[in-house]
Amino acid sequence: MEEHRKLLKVIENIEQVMIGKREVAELSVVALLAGGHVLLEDVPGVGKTMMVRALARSVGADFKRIQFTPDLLPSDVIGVSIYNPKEMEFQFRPGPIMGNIVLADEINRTSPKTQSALLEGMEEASVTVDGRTLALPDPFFVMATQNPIEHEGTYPLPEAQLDRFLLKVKMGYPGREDEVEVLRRAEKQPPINRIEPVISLEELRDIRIRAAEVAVDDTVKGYIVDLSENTRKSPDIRLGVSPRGSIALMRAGRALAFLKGRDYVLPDDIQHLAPYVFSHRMILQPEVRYEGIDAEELVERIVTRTKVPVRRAGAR
Amino acid sequence: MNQKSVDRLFLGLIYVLVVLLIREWLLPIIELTGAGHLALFVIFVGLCFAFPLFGVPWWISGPVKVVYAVWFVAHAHMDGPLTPVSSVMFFMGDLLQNAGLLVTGELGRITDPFRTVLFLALLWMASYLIQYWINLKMSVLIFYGMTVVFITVLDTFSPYSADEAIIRILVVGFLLLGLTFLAKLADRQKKRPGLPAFLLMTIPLLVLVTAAGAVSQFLPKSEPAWPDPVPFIKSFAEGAGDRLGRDAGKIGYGEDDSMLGGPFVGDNTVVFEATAQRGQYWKVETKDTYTSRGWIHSSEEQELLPVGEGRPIDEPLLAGTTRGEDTANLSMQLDFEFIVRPYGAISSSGPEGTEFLQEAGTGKVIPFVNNAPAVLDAYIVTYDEPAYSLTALRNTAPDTLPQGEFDQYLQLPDGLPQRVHDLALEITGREETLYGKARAVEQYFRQNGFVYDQANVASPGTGEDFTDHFLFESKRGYCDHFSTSMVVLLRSAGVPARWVKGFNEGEEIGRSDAGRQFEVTNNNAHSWVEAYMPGVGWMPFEPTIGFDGAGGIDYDLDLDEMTEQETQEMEESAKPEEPEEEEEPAAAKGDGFWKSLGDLISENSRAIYTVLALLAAAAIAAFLLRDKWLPRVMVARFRKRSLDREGFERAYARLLGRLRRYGLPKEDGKTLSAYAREVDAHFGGTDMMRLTEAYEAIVYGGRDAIREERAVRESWENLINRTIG
Repeated sequence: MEEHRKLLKVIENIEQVMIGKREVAELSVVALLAGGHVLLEDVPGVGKTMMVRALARSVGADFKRIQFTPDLLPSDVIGVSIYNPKEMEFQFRPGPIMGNIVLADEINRTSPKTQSALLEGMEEASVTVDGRTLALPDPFFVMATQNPIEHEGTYPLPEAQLDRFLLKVKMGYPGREDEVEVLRRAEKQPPINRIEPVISLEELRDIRIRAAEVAVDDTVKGYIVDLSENTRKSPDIRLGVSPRGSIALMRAGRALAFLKGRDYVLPDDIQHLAPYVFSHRMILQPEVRYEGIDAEELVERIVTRTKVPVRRAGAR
Repeated sequence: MNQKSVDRLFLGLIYVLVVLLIREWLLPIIELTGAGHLALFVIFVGLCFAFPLFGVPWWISGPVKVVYAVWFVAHAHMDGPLTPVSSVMFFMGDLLQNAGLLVTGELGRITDPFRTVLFLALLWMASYLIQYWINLKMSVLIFYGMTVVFITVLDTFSPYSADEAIIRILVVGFLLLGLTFLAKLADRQKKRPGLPAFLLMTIPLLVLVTAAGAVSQFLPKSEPAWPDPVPFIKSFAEGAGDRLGRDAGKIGYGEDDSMLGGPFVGDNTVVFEATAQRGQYWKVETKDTYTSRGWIHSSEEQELLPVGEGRPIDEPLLAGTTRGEDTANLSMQLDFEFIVRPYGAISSSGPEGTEFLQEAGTGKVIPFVNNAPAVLDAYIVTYDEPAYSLTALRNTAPDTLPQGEFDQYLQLPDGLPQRVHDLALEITGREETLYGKARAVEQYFRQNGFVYDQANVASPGTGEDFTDHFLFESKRGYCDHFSTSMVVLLRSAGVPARWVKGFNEGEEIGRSDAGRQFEVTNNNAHSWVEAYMPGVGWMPFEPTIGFDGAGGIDYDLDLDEMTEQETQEMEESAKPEEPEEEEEPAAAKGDGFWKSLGDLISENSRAIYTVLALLAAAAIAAFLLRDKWLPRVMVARFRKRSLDREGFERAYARLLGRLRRYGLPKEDGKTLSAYAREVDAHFGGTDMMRLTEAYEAIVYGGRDAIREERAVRESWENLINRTIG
């Protein structure tokens, strides 16, 4: 399987610019393969932009960046039609959303109206301008960042819109050793310029189709549903994961299995991805939140408590 | 009808059934003890259940029950007019008298009225316990099971016949179980049934169970296919542990008593059956000469005297009363050229032309037909059981003994050790009458560490005196030891005594209008003692522990003259006698195949049981040590199997089971590969990971074939072998 070697190379590329964050790089590739988007919940200055740029370069994709501010308008994101006196007609000037890989920085600092313009694009893979529907480029991959909710001047994304993101990832600060390495590399030429494309966009589209063909046995599907159901049954969770969440977990699982060079999904893939897929799709009970337990932790607890199927569904 | 009434009706029905079950307990108890008053006991139990049912407060129900108990006791036990005052006086008096006995632990002396009181108290408590079961747990299964066990055990081992009772218990018990189940069901539904629902549920149940009981009553019942197991169980239990010392002899009536001692094996062969009014000892003969080893009779040639026609078999009683003339019908199973007879025998009659002659010395009665000793199948003995006058017995001072007349019954061997004489004087020295001395010796065996045992009996060494050995060395033996020693001690103390052979009363097997039926087996062969009481005659004594066959006493004294010991004796002798030895009813009832199978089993029982025990032990050991061998078996089987998908799945599941036993269980929330890493980390190597990857491809990847089958087989075997603990 050549493809997954190439994908591993993509991850290595990202690792060059972002030291000690292989996990995040891997998840980003998973989301890219699965046709989903990633929400990074993080403090500024830990290298998000670098990572996304490295990813874009590795796949030879168009990279756009939108810095969300409170006064940003939807048209600033999507684009605007301007009257061209020479041609005597309105001409569409595409906004920054019209790229393959889009970094949407601090998405929760802008107004809900602008947020929803982006989110609609993510969901529909198209935008509507002046009554015309414009398809977004394929692949279209958004990596959005949001400041932790506690920060002032934020408009938290509503839960219903959060599930437009396939994964929610927390990056966190690098470890001590890793940060020393970051400093060492900062003295030299920024490594981002040395990154060569590994696969073409054409290949990426192809790989995405292949990844969607990875087999998910009924045994594993049953396991995914068990996990979702347990989030609904848990007394700590006010609103559990919807069937859409279950589908998202299966899609992500396929991509991860493909990345690992397998043509079938293991419960291990599901276990690994569940916290990233589920955590932003649930609403916790207030008392649990006051106790400082976050959603990822709850999902991990549910994972350890849910029985992993070890016999084929339907077997004696 | 409101809900409360329905509930009460339901509970009331259950209580009625419970009272019926308790009645089944009372029936055999009352029949076997002869206590009577069944209805009164049942009414008492009914009261115990009725009061709580109707919510009667304890300060009413308690006194009512006490009043009922007082009336019951007075009604059942008091002579004379029954007035409230006299009843209470009687009751209180009895209570006070017995309370003292309870405190001092003299349980044997408590009176019948007090026993009734205690029994009523027991019933009270039992009904309370059953109510607790019903009200709190709605469960009667334990009680029902105990009832069935109780009745079946009694039916098997006692004269009580439970043919009808078992059907009644079946019907009542199943009704109870059904009703309590309904109650539990209603409880679980959190909904009490109304009257229609109640009737709808209970009436079909009543009809069905009653119909089933009725049908079973009339269905033909085949005889048990297996012969009665009781004799087999008993003979096996009795035979246990008798292999010590010399070869065991077989119990039974023998002629030669010149060498006593040695262990015995029980033998349940029936000797004879007797029909009589009471159970009693069956006497055959007496012997007068003790040889240090056993018994012979002084004169070898016995003069034969005709019996009957003015010459009774036993010498008539000189002082005392008799119970009135009676007859005993004897039906012999073994061939004896003599008859067995109860005490006070007067005459005997057999078929036409039978003449009965008695040996003058031994007292043995021999039937003669055509002037030759004959064996009789059946005969009748007329007797008048004596009760010896206590007044006369208390006047048996040693000097009333006629000089010289009883020398043959004071004989002792020359070599009798001095310590036997000393012991005799020590026991009897304080007694002034011959009767007192005899009783003192009789009691001596009960208090000084003597043990009744047929099996583990040591034999005296060469030149050792049989009596001396028993009295001072072994203190362990059976009737011959006790009776011989008592005779020797009595003779040493100057009391004329002789050794008696015969049978004890045997086991009661039934009752009829003609009297009670007793079955006497070889196990009942017995020996005891007769001592001569001047002015009274020859009187039997029973020194053997666990036997109760002393001669009846006529307590013809003024009450305040009686000593405490005599009072105690009076009460003891008033108790119904309990047969000590168990019988074997017709051991060879089954015929043909079953008989031979039964014989085979009983002959080889030891071997069969040993083999069974060894097999069981081997099975247990194999189970406990399965960690050592099971993996090897699994590997051997695994090698023969083809490793298709199903076979591999099974093999993998086995491996998980073995690893769990080994102490590496897979947690539910852990994936197989995570678990495989853990196992590999424990054992080293990558076997589990390789195996798990192949397994995952099958289970999650839907593959049918196994990749790298050879490596997978190897890994599996490696892992299974690692689990050998």
